[in-house]
Amino acid sequence: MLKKILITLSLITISSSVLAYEYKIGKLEIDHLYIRVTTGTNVSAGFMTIENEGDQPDKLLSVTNVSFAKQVEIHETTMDNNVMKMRPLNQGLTIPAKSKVQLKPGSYHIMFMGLTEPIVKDKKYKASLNFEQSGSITIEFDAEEAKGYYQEKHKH
Amino acid sequence: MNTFSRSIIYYIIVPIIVLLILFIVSIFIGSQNKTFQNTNAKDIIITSDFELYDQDNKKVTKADILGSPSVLFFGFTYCPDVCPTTLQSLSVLIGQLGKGSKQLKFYFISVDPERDTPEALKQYLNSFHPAIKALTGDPKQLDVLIKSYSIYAKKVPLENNNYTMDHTSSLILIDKNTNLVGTITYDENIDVALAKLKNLY
Repeated sequence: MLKKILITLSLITISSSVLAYEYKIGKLEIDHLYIRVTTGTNVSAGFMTIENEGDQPDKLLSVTNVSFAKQVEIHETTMDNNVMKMRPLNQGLTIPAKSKVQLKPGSYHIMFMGLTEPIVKDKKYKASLNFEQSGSITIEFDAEEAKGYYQEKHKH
Repeated sequence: MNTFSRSIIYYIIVPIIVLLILFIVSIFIGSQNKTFQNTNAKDIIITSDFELYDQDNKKVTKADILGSPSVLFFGFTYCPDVCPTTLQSLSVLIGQLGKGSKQLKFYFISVDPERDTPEALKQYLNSFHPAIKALTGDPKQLDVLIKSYSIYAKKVPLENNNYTMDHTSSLILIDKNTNLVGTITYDENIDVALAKLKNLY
């Protein structure tokens, strides 16, 4: 009995440490991927964390192979004197060496425009992330409802 | 003229006239200062009447805003990031206020009436606290609210004829006479935000 519990426990530990990140390509680890559930509009935003363990910077150049949107851009939201501004990052999003970049509300996001279907909870949404150094990887976003600033803060 | 009457003019009448002029000027400046202070510290109100529509296509005018304090948020439904986050934050705040929230009105005011029809807004609001109402309509009518509170709202083109809006992201707090009494910023501490809302009623 005790043996069984120990085995189960160690299996849980191993699997959870294996699942510390969801995707890995080259020196990049990608996790916390989610896309916002839509409520009538045909735009949504995708979020994630990209960690670069390498000694060289990399760059997220584009997001492609998206079947649910006509147009996809990498955006940055900034606050300028309490004015919200959203701009495309035409040169891509740099992931500096040995650092972590969070795509999160009020910062960077993947902007999906011209949605061909609503984003609904419990469905997964595929896309390819194209990096300058590490190449391309296909990932899946979980669909999640919008969180407020207070909930976002509690989570992290 | 003899020296005596000349010295009377120089030493008495001239100084009196100068003092009188100074006195009148100071009163004038003082009254000007007062009006200036008044418009500055108070009187940031909805300047004229307007006719807008809520998410149920019901007409809303200035008379509907008057009478109880309100929280205004200017945004647009095609905003993927800051608007839903702020509306979700506001929903949390309304929940925390509990019964007190009934003494306030909450309006999500569109800065993008081109895309934000009452129907679109109705669907959009489904994700947030039911106390939040939306306002849209003729751009000139929306401008009454946008200009009254000096809200920044500017269309910015994206690729493929798409566009986004730069806009003021703070919550605007107004009293029952529509006087601006404060703001809550996007990243305001929750306790400070709650205190500001409770101060309204």
